[in-house]
Amino acid sequence: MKAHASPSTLRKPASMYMKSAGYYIVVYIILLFVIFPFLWMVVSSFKTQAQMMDTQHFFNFSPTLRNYSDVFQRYNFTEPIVNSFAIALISTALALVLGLPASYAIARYRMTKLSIVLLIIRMIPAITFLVPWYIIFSLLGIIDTYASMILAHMLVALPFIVWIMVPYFESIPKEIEESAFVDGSGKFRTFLQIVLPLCGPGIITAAILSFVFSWNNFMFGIILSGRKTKTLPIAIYGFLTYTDINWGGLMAGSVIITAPIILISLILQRYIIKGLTAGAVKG
Amino acid sequence: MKKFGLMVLALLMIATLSVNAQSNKLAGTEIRVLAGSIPWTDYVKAKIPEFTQKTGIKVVLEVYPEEILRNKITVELTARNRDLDVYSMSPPQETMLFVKNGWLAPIDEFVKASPDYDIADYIPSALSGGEVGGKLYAIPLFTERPVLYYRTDVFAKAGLKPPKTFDELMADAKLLNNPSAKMYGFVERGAGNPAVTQFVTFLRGFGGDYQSRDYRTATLNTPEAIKAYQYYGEILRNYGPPGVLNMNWGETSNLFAQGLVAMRIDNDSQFGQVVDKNKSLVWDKVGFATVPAGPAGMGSCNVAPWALCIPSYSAKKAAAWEFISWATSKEMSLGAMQAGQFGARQSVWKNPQATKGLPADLVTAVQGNLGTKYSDERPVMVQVGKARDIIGTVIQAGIAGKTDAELKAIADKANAEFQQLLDQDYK
Repeated sequence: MKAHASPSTLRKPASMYMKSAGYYIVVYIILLFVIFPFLWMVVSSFKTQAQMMDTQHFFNFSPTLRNYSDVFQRYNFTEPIVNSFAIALISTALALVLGLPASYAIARYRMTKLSIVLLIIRMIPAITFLVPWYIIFSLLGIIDTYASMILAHMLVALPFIVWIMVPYFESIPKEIEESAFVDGSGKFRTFLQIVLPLCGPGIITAAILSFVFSWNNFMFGIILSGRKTKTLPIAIYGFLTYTDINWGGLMAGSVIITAPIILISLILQRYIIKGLTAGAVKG
Repeated sequence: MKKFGLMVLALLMIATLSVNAQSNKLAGTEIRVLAGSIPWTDYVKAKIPEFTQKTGIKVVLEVYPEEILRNKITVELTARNRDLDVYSMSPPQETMLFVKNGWLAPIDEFVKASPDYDIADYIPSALSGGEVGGKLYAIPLFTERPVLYYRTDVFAKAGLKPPKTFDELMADAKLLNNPSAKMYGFVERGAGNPAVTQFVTFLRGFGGDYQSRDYRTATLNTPEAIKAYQYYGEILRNYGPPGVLNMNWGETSNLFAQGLVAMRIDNDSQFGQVVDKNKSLVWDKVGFATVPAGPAGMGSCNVAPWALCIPSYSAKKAAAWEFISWATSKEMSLGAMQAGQFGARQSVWKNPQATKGLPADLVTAVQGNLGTKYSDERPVMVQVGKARDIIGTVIQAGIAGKTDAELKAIADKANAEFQQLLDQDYK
């Protein structure tokens, strides 16, 4: 895309054009495979089950909105949407509040042991925590409350945020902070007003990814949520029953679950790419 | 006279009071029930206010899909949660494991104390799935059995009647199979683990079985079993759709609903998928028949896939039983049957009211099966899941078209592995 801006492209030999044409063909073929499932999902969400499985009429069908009305009326999706949003938002926010200062400290004071402990928490399969959690949370009486779900999601989000942010903080030259100290800014103020704004892309990346994790998490929800705190990944299972698979509802539900994530990612994708490559640049 | 009247009135009042006190000794108790999302649950859920009004027992019902329910129950019972009073489980898959884990309370005492409940009304084979060592642990919610789904229009055109024997089934599948016209002769589950519960109809039809009748000996490599693998393999390989090795009931049901297969065997409980206008292109052309019998007779079974039980950790077992006995009473079973969930009580099958809304040939097909002696369609043991994987490999080898010698070798190997599991479970 940048090639257009550069005058040198005008004098490109034919073989270069062939090369870039080949490049785009490969890109489109890959895109086809990536996008087709989404396309199928969206198109199918407007079909009855009989139409959906009928490969002869993929585009040529009379659309129905019944699946979407089913999702909200019969399967009552409004509550899980609110639950999922609240849990993902609060757990991400709390993990940031704890994780950002922690990773700054790890980066500046070289606390490698602590960071390894955090990595180990991330490496242990989360399912191992579930039974102890269930026992502890039920003793505390917080099963089927936001508190238990948020705590559980934070356990994954926190190490994740720390591990993205440590290289980011390391990449910020110490001199910037030192000049702030010279000007009389305290440690806390320097962190808040100088270091954090410089790490914007990193923080956004970490926040989005931990939000997405929480949004999609299924395993914690099975055990720790209940009637009152059912999240979306649990609710969508309602379309599969012992004797019936409601594919139409499943597709409509999937569209509803995927849409916010796709929107957020599209709007903030520039930052995500910067954030993901941050550690790599430093080498 | 006036005095006498007053006395009678007073006596009457006392009598009513004490009757109320009797039936309400559990009043105010709150029980927590975990159930799977099946039509039965929807029906019962709507009726719970009536139960609470009658008994004073409050019911907190949580409904989850099968997979989530299983996970939840496993964790709650591992953590010995005292706050769970009734849950639904899958007897053929779980009874032995759960009893071994100490997760089920026997309910014989409660049943004995409730003569009106009429336990003898249950289809015996349906009840036996919840029994271990002579004790009853679970009350079946509904029953299912394999039936033959067939296309009435295709059969009429070919001048055929639904097959009654394995030979007829093979011949019909061959005759109707016409892939160039997008019509396959026959389909049934081909994915290994899920196929175990359907393949058994053929295995027993040929005179084989997974285990000896005392459950301790593996019999996967008997000559009868080999014949069954070959038959099942031949009919699916030659007259089935491509990709059958990956198919579970959902896929075969879709193929049938799309009008791409002439015959399909799977459980009757799925009939809603193919006779619903929104789900099926052939909704008005579906016929049902009892599954064909083999040389050794009828091999199909009558299974109660879901049942209600009381966890041993519950502190409110009496109230829990009160709920179970109400939810599975004759009256409620009848209502659930009308809501589309085939009952486990004989009385509902004799009641013409119960089956009024159902396809007539489906009812006949089911009734043709009620006398079967088999109440299990999978290995009876603790490690059912592992055993199904092992058996699945032989079924798939049959479909893949292995030679007799190869098939025998694969069956021998599977038999040895299966025997090992049985030895562990029946020490």
